Formats: sequence, structure tokens, C-alpha cells
Amino acid sequence: MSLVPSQAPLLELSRATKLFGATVAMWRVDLQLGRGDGVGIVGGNGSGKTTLLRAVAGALELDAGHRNAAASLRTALLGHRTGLLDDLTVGENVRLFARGRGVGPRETTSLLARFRLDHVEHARVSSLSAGTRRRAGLARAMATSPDVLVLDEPFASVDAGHAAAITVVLTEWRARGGTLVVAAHDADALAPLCDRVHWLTAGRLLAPVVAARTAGGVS
Amino acid sequence: MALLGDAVALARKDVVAEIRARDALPAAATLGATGLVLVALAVGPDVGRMRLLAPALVGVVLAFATVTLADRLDSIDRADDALVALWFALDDPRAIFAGRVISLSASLTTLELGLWLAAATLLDLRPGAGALLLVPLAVASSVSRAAVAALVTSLVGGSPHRALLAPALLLPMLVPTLLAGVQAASAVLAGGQGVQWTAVLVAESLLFLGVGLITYGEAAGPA
Repeated sequence: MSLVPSQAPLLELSRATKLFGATVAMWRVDLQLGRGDGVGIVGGNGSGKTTLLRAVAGALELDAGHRNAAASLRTALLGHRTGLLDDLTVGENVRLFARGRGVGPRETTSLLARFRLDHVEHARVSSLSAGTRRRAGLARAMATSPDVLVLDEPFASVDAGHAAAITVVLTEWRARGGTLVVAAHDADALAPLCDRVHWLTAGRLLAPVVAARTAGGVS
Repeated sequence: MALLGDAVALARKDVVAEIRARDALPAAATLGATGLVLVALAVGPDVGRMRLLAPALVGVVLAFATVTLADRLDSIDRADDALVALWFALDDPRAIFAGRVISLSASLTTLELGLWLAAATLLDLRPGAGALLLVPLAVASSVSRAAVAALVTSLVGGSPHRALLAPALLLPMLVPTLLAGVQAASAVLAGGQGVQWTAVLVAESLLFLGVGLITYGEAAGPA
């Protein structure tokens, strides 16, 4: 298994740098993503994971370096915040975001079921628990039918059963050609989802290692 | 047409959120009604002066209400990064601007008509048949205010100094609408039609809408 995409990259960060005052959030990061890639980012608190993910998604203005991606590339980002509207229901949120991409009601209903959200479809987001809200945020992101899905701690506050369901949905989505970039504190949580895992420290991205998907860990 | 369809869906989202939260519009209406009562008390039982002041008072109250409403709707979108998510979800992010103009226009038109009703009661206005002319006037001035407010809040909404910047930038930009609106309303209350000033309001609305649609994608964004 190669550590870099064999085909022309779908999205590329080249010497991407971001500073917040005197703090180096991201320093000369090079990252290439191909179609169907699964890339994990592991790092401690303050290592720059969120900054890197926002740069990948195109939600961050770089101080130096470049982000190259086709204008038609569809990206969806689930950060620490879920991107949901509190006063709408789960179903209304997912349908609103799906609408912009022409995803119909049947698909959104199916998506809610796959994330085990059908029983809270008519509940307002403001009434949800943290874990349910997280899953609703994931459904919201996937409802936009993205080419690249960028997830920051997707399993935060999610119990083991629901985390397994999320893993299944994301694995199947990748098998259909979706590109996944996912960050976490724990490399083992990323192993089932990723082909390669990068360690990030002080904004610097280290060379990747191959993720051992079946072993439940990262070699 | 995708832009219009998305804009209407986003406007509907704003209206649903406002109906459920019952926050910004009641606050603006309370502010307006309180302002009318205070002016009525300050001016005293001089009906002539109250009628003279009414258009300016309604206009000023609406300017402040515009700041409140626009800020509230923008805050809802930014609360959990929904604005960034919407930006990525839409083929044309200008739908966010257009949707905000539609929802703000609807809220401001409702508020303006309510304020005229309150003013007619509290300040003893008697517009007679001319009252109907206040409806197109309210629509035109609301669209104008909404377009300016949607653009300004999209620019300053992400700033930590938004509480200072929003009114400081928005209120001066509302002055042309305030002037034209007061002149048109004064003409209607004096028994005229205010057509010329209403036309000025329509022109302002189209100008601000055009500027917003052209610049929104460049001036505001998720980055």
C-alpha cells in the first residue's frame, strides 16, 4: 500500500502555513489526497489538528503556501462544532443541507436511519445529547454528498455502539470513492477508517505510517 | 433558479427559527412600542407635533430594530458553525445573502406595519385612505434595510468586536433609506402619495441588492 496517492491528487496542501500571533498552528504542511483515500491525523491538544483540518476543507486563509483543489470539489467539514441550527429539528437540518446538493427526501431518511437518528428526526437539535448531536452533525455533513469529508474527533461523546455504526457508514462511503480525512487523539480509533495516519506535533505533519485496519491498531 | 430556490429555503429556515424562539421580533416590537409611548409622553397632547414626528420616529426605531434583527439571525447561523457548513453545502453561497434579505424583509415589513398601527393609535394619526400606501412603502424600505443589513452583518459577524462594529457601520448606511422613508411617509400622512420617494426607496433596494449579490462571495466566506 502506497503512502501517497498513485493518481493525480484530488486535493493538495503545499507548504501550508498558519500562524496565530506568535503561535505556529501549522508549519509548511504538505499533504496530498486522492479519491478514496482515508487519512488520519493524530496529535495532542494544541498540536494543530483543527487548523490543519480547516485548511484541508478550505475554511482557513493560509498565511503561506497553497491549497490546490478543483473548483467543483465538494468538501464537508465536521469540526468541534456540528454546523447544525439549534432551532430546527434534526430532519429539518439534514434536509436543508441536502437540498443544496439535490439529495432527495428518500436518501436523507435513509441517512438518518443509518446514523440511528430516525427516532429523533422531529426533535430540535437544542434538545439533543452531545453524542446524538455529534451523529446528527455527521449526517448533516454526509447529506451534502461531498467528495472529501473532513472530520474532527467524530467519535467524541459517542458511545461504543454508535461509534461502530458510524465506522460502518464511513467505511462503506469510502469504498464508493469518498475521501476521508479524520483527526483524533487516539490512533487506534482511526485504524478502521484510514489507510495512513500522520502524527502532528506543534503544527508539523510527520511522515505517515500505514494503518493496520484489521488489527485494531496502527503499525 | 437554484440560487432563488436555496434562498427561499434559507429564508424559511430563518422564519421558522424566529417563530420557535420568539426572540428578536418581539424584542424589536417592544422597543418600538416603548419608543412611541415615550415620545407621546414627551411631546404631550400636541397632536400636530406628534403627527409631524411620527414618520421620523418610526424610521429611527426601524433602523435600530434592523440592527437587532440582523444581528440575531446572523448569530443563529454562527452559533454552531452552521454558516460555514452552509457555505460548503450550497452551489452558490450568495443564496445565504439572498435568503437573509428575504427573511429580514419579511420581519421588517411586519414590524413596520405593526409600528404604523401602534403609531396611529398612540399618536392619533389619521392617514385615511392613504394608509394602504404605507404597505408598498413598508415593503420597499424593508428590502432596502434588509439588503444593507445582510451585507454588513456578513462582513462583521465573525469579528470579536461585532457588538461595536455592526451598529457603527450599519446605522450610517441606513441613513439614505431613513431619509427617503421619512419623506415618503410624511407625504402619505399629509394626504399625498409619496410616489417619488417610494421610487427612491425601490431604487435604493435594487442598488443594495445588486451590490450584495455581486460582492457577497468575495467579501464574506468561510475562510
